[in-house]
Amino acid sequence: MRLLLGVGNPDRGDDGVGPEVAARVARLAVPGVEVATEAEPLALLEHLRRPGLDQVVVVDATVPGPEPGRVRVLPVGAARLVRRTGPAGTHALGVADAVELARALDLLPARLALVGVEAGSSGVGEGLSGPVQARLGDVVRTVTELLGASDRLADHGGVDREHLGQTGEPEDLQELGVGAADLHGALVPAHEPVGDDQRVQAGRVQGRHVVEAHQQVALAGDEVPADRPGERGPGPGVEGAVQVEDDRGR
Amino acid sequence: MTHADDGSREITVETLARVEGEGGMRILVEDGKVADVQLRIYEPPRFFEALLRGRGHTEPPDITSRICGICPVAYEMSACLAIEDACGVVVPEEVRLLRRLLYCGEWIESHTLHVYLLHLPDFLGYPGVVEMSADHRELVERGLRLKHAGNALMSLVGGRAVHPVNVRVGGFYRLTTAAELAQLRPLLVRALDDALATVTTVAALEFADLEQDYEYVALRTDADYPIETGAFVTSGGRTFRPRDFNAWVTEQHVEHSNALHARLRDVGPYVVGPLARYSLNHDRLPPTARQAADAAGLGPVCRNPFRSIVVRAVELVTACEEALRIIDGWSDGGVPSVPVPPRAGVGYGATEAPRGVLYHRYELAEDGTVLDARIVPPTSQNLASIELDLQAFVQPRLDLDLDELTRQCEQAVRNYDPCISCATHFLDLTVEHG
Repeated sequence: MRLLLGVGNPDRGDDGVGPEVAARVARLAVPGVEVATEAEPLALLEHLRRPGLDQVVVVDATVPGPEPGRVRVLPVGAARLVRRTGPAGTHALGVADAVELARALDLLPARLALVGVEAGSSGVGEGLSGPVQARLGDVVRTVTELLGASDRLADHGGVDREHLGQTGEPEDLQELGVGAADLHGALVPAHEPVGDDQRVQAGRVQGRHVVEAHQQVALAGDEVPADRPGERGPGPGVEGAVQVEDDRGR
Repeated sequence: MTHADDGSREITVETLARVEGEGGMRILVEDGKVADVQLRIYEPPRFFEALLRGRGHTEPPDITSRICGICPVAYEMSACLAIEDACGVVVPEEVRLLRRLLYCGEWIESHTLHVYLLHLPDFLGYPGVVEMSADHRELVERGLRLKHAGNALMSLVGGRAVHPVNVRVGGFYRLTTAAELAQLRPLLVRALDDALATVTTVAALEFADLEQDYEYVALRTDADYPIETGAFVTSGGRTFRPRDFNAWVTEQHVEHSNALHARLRDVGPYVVGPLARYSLNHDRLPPTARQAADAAGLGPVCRNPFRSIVVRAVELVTACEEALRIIDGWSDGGVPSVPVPPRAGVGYGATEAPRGVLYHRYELAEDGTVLDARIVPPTSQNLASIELDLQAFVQPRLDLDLDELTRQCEQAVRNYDPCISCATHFLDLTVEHG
């Protein structure tokens, strides 16, 4: 069984992106894929306790930043996730804590990926911001790709395109794949600075690689796009901010 | 920390890990004395009160339940009580009992989260529960088992674990059946055992030596430990009804915080939450919880904020014990809800959220439109006392190295399980033209 979990609070502006994406994917009625929403990241553990779970995709808003709507994919592999600073937004424990607790208790499924959507605002009762709204179709595509169910998008053709908003052309998907791999901004390595030679050019990795590369997440976490070196420091807020700590070879 | 030439130094913690919401603390030391302590709140201010104006009288439970992901039931319950009060409606006994049962689920979830996942790492010397789980896996497993029991109870009675959808003004959409409750029973029996083990575990911890002469404020009822209803009592012997809350409690804006600080009339800062509830209601504990409290050496009044973890554990036992009592006495056939026809008026509701008394007040128009709403969450009532705690706590520990002092201060703040995101409000700005 595969699970899509949308985390967030629909009343807190872009924090509601997780539940919204979950609702849209639920309408696709993908066989073998269950969809759930939670307000509290720790609830992930409840879901992971269920037997027969092969794959989980978690969608959550990431800390408000300069590029609302930007989508990042973090396939969880051998590398530990470390919360970058302090508390995780309005939640007592963040998704990164939930994932690492699951790891410590041997609850991780064979495949787990986090999909972060950069929030623009988290104002009460504001609904999703324009930039996040505009990327909803892309996020749904990313999620269905990860769940191996992207054919559902085609199957549902006209009807669901309405729900999906602007889905964009296939190029967009590749561009998303780049976002998936570079993991800049909220997802940065914990310790060592990344040298120029290690930086990965934007555009190199495509979406499908992300799905298959779940054992190489640490590598993905090391990637900081050359054109955005300044984004590695802590941002103004913290929700969804996680680091990938790569302790291989230590 | 910064050292200035004049010998003063400033300890700043930008964000408080494992505190709900986002907050910081600033401690200013001058000439070897703690000159100022500020708990700063910079979570985006909430304006739920403004959001509620103009809405229908059946909406506040749903809307306010989303204020906090940890204590949605508390918001629903206080909202229901206030609206029903405004409309002159009293719900049937089975509705009150099922509300209490649902609330027990929230207490179990919330207290377990705090005791095991947020506070215990402080006492056992770990930066967080993830690190703690490597050495104390069985403890974490027990905590998650307890949390699951609370979750299951909330899912069954409330419709789902977070933001229950079965609650409405006047009662429930559907009453849980005796058969469903019987199915859940074994989980709660196990939870009661786990809760008792929790008391034993946390009673054996080492506690910093800090006794504070708090004014405690909690609800109290004629019969039971206060959860879903009650009138106010204080350790100074004052009693007042929820409708008189405004006359007794004033909220003040302080410069460094978006949250309002509450003051009790003629007293000043006061404390709500487990310590207050316990100390004002020790004689209302159900039998097993009372035995557990005695065995833990708590005594009838607890004034050490660090021991709040023991009190929370005792309240975990209370919630499990009460849930089992309600389940065992449950019979089907009750009415799930009563009509709540709107009328013009003001209503008041106060219930015991896991973190302390949560007060709601609504003013309704004749057609039920919400004209005004006021919500006073427990954390804003505690903020002033948390600062006083820090002041007393830091002074004798000034020679600790900064990391250790910071760690201990964070622990002192976590004693209150503060939910900072609930405690913030927008300022109402009024411009007067001369």
